[in-house]
Amino acid sequence: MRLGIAVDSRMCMACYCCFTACKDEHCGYDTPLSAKQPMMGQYWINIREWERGDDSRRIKTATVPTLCAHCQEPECLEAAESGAVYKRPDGIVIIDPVKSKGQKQIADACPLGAVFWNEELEIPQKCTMCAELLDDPDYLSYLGDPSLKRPRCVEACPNRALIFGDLDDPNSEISRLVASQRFTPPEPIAGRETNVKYLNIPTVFLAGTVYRPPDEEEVFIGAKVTVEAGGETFTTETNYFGDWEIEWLPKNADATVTIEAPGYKPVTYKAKTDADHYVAMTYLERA
Amino acid sequence: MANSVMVQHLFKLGGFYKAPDGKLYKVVVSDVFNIRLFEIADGNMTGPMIKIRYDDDFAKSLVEAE
Amino acid sequence: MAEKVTHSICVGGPIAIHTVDGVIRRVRPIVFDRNDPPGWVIKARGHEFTPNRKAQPAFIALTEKNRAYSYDRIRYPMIREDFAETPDGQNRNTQNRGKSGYRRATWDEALDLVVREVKRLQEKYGKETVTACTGSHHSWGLVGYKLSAFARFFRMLGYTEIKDNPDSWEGFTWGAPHTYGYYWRLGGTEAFDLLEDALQNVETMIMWSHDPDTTRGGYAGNESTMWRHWLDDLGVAFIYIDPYNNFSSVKQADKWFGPRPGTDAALCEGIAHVWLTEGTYDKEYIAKHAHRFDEWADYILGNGADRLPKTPKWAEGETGIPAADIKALARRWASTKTMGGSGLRGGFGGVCRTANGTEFARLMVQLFAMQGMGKPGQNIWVGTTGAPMDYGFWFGGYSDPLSQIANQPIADVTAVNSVTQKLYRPNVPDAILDGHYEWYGEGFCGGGIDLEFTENIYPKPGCSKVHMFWRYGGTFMGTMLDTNKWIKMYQSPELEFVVNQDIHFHGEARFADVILPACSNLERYDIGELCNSGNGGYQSHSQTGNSWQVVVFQDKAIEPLWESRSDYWIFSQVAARLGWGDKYTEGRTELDWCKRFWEKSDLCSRISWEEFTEKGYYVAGVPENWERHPGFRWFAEGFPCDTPNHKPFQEEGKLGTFTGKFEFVSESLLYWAPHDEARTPIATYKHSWEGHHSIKAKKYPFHLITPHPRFDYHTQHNSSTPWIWEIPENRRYIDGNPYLVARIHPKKAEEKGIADGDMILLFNERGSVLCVARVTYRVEENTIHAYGSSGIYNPVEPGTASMDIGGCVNVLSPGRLMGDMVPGMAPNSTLLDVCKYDGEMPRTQYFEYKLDKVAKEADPDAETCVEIIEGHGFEKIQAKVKSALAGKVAI
Repeated sequence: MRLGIAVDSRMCMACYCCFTACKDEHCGYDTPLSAKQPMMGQYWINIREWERGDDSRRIKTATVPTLCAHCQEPECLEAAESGAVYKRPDGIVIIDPVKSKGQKQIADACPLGAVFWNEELEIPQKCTMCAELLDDPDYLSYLGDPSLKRPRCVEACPNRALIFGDLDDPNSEISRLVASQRFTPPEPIAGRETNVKYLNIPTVFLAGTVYRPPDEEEVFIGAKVTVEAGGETFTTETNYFGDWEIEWLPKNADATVTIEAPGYKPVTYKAKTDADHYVAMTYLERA
Repeated sequence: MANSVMVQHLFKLGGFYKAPDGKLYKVVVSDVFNIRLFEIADGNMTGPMIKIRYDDDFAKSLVEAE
Repeated sequence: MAEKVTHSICVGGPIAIHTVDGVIRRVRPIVFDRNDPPGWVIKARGHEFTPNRKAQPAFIALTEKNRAYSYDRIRYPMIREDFAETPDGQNRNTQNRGKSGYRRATWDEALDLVVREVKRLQEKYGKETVTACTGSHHSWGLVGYKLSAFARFFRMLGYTEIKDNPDSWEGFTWGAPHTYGYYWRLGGTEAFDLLEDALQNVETMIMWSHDPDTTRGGYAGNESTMWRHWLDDLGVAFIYIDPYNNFSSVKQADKWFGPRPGTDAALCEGIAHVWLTEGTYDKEYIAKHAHRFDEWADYILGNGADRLPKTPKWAEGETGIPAADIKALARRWASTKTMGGSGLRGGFGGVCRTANGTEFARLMVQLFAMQGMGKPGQNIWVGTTGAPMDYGFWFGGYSDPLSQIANQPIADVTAVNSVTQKLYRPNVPDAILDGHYEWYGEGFCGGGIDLEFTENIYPKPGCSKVHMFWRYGGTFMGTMLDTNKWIKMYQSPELEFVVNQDIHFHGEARFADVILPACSNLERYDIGELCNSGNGGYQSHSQTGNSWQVVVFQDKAIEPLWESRSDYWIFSQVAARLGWGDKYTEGRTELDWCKRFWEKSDLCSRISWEEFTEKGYYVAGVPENWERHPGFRWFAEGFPCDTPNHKPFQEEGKLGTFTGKFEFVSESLLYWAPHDEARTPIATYKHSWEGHHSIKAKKYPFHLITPHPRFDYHTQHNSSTPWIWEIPENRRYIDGNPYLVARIHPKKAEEKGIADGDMILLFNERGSVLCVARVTYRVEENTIHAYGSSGIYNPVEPGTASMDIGGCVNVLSPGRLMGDMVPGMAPNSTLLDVCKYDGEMPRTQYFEYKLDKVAKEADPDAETCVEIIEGHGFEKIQAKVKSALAGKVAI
């Protein structure tokens, strides 16, 4: 059994239920596995929310609930002394609140920034995947169904953006979700085997709008748009608003954007996929 | 698509109706699905909320009162 | 470890509460067990859709524990330090209200003072000299609601009632009924069974001034969020129109349009021009269902008195949206099955709270009419209502007279107010300060269109002026208009006595002479249903905004903290001292009243009282083959209206207008208000009286929009929970104060030398508010966006109209109502300027010392506000309560 959480960025609407449920559970309370989270300053699950685009014409946001990835080979465990960090048989990584005293290097070691240093108590702290609740046979016993016990963040999510379960069971909901979605680990943990699986975090988009010659006051529907970036070619057509957009572009590449429509002069742009860009409002000229 | 008989045709919202046993009722909710009544005694609403459909025997026995 | 699990609801939705040793340990969503009914299943386009098996509150509901133990709880009765109980009511240092500190009083002292003053004033001036007012919702539950315990008390007392303006509905209430009726829904339409219709049929959704993942269907929490994902996954196109690319829009929109605030009606006219010139509207439907359509069409096409065709190019000039884009929008709308609307249930939206909000509302309805409103996939529906529900199950909502302890059948005797004088909420300060006020309408005019035109004057002939104000629950500083004038009102000697009864030491509490500490609804008994605002009330069947119908026994989770008491207890005490305590209570405890609601509804036929109070909630399952009655379908297809909660004339195929049709020239306006300048018989785009064409714009060039907040609701939660202040899109906690985020476009920010994260001052002639700048492309260039409804109000000099650091942007809004005959508020027609703030930074919230002083006088070991916010104060409070309950120490 390997307990994990799938984080589906596509489904997350940044409603902050997970964030609040975690604080409700841990702020101000010691548990058998963790010291109390301070009222402010730590976010064992946080929502990374960032705006994408450099023009009001096209802005999107990415929303990624971000928590400790419970790595199979954690950097924090590597950096810890005296067994202050350990990995349980079910895969959950725990920082011992007593043994870890004074070990700031444990907090500094995390590539994701998911371990926080508590100045007052002088201990590193992070998400416990609510293991203390999962371990407690009385927790939610009134519901009469042990399978309803989940980490607080997962339970609070209204959008199925957080799914909890056994990664070793190929038929579990989490396994099926991970198998069917884009696996997009954040760069700091790329390449690691983790028990928190980040899905559908977007890369980069390029977008624009195509219009007929200015005096016509019309969008151009059905113009062909070709984007070459990072050795790949992507094509699309402008839609009923004359808009075109290509997502999931390879990052940090040079791109060439070509816009073509029969009877009109083609237009080419140079762009970069260093960030999300609205390329242009393109007014076609007759050929 | 619509029900062939609209409940509201038969019972006025806020209206008073008399049952064969002399009891008086007031229509407090009128809805395409059902209507709801309270018994009126000494000018006061009393007892539980009663739910009826237009084709209930009880409904058919009600007569509009002053 | 004695743990118990109880349940409750707040404005954010239903919750399960775990209490251990008498303190709240955790607050969770209610997860249904195997005994609860199955969810509905909707089949559409080859898929099956069913909701998650739990009730889904908004995140604010999960902060209810913090609200109970909050640093700003009013712990003890308090009396203003320099209040003088002079026998003639004069010379009471009223000019210091808002500035003065408080001293602790006993309940007896406070209640006796209140009663003495009520008696003195009512004997001297008449019953009408007392007025009282609540916030919209500072709690949830039928016993405690303002139309229940509060109304019962004040009606029995006799007082000048303050009519609420329909703040969330304004343009729709005062405008839309003149186009299509539905005055009984305050201008909003009926959405019955439209979720299924949409899943099966819709192709385009137009979300006009709508942010569903922020406004959350009103009180439906996150119940409907998945529905919009389903539509997304079915390939439905989402188009959002809003000066702010809002939080739903920015995740979901296929296209965002950002019109300049106040110009949406022009956009409507531009769209209509395309349809009329291209013939792409439902001519057969219009021929059958529209009244005087051609006269309006003439106006749009340039054959009206102004000879100005409302072309897309013309609309571009007003809105800033390119003409080509407007044409594309109009064509997409006309060529696909389109549903949409404004605001959280379709007849709301910040856009309708503007100077010409009525005209937008009417034009929007007209546009949907032109595309055959009511046909499958074509309707006013915005993705937040219309789920299947069990209509065979009736449980009251708060606006339903059948569900208030003020009335039969819940009470044995209905409470009747002997006073007929009224006041009107948005302009209470004007009335008190000027000693004269006149206005039209009844506020909530659900009973008839004619009610919009009743004539009101204060003081009513034969009545005295108001000299006592009893304010209950919430703070208007963040929700009403030009709110610095409330300061002047409170400091006026006209108000000889001011009482405040609240849970938290919010903005208005600090102006009172006597403060009565109320407890939260986790500390008392109540009963309520998720998102039920009143079957038969003004928004019937609002539960169709939920995935589940859930009635909750709001069990008392903990004993009232410190010396707070339930509102019901407070009113009972005052009533008893006035000699009619038994009449008020009818011998019932709060728990007894809860049982009355169970008895006088269908709940008693579904579940026993013992089972209901033991389990804590009841889920009304939807029958498997439920009867469908889609909203507005009857009108489109010409059969007698078959939807719940309709009017008799609808069975004749008519709308609630004079002609029974969509009125493109309004006969009701011609009848009642032919000379109304703000709301003309033909709805037209007009320049806002505080907009970019105003003279004022030369000095204050930015528009301010202050939509319903994402991170709060009705001023209730933001002030209590520091965690929320750490959410970057909400506030930034800097040096002890949580500053509100205000959004500005990068181009304007650069012109002003403002960088993301800088301190930014928002100001106009009415006041100033210090915020944190959020530089973003998501706002229309000329717009500043800052959420309204701030529960935090902290002028740097308390009791003055000085700079506010709490984020009460409503101090900047105009006090003027929409029109002489249109008594609606228009906060989204505010002009202001901004600048980078380089001045002195405050180190406190400016009021904590008042609470700390009283707390420490009562208990030298008491936690200070700052300790509770930042340190271990919260834990100390819980530890003390545990000890006290274990019999060790008094708190």
